[in-house]
Amino acid sequence: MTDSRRKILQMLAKGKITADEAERLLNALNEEQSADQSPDSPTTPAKPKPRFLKLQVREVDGDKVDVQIPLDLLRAGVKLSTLIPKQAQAKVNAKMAEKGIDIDFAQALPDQLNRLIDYLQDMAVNVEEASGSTVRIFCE
Amino acid sequence: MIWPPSILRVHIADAQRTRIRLWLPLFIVWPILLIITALLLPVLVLVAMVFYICRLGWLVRAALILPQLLAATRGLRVNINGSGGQIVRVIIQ
Repeated sequence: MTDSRRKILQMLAKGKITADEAERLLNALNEEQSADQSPDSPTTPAKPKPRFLKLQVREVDGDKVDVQIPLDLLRAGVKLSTLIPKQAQAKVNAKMAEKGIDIDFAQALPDQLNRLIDYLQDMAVNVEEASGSTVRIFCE
Repeated sequence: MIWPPSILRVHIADAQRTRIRLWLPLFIVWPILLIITALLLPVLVLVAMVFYICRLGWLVRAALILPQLLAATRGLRVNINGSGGQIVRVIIQ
């Protein structure tokens, strides 16, 4: 029995509070305790943020590629990309569109790009070819 | 605070067993670079002002981001193992 619960019962026994008041207090105490134990409570330790974007390629013939890119590097790259002069941005956009990446870097704000990197953390790509080769992209 | 990378390791080997192994202690470079930058600071400020006057301020801003970009490379790893025994490994710690 907790101290708070004991105090409420003692107050009830001494007649300082009525049975209804004691019940209300006990209910409030229960709610408070269950909120503390809830997984969504702010006291619950947060899941550690991933720091790296990882790429793993495994070929059937034995070739292996492992690349680990720090997410901070992507963020710094985003900052740098915002400094590209407007004349060059048009050329960059055209080249990126050629490769199938249709993003207008002149319009994309650093905040939006940073948010995109944040969302990358929940992304996982897992490709398995019929031949047995695999490609995995994930954050860790 | 993000600390700059302290060690760069490069390992390249081909099928004929030609090997290149590099271990570069970057932690020695940073203090030297810091001293050089501090000594050249008045000149750098002057150059930055000239760039801003010539409407090339973006170059100065890019130069200011470069140290951050460099520091963010810590943890970068590239590891390629060919089936024929070829190895390319770059690790920034």
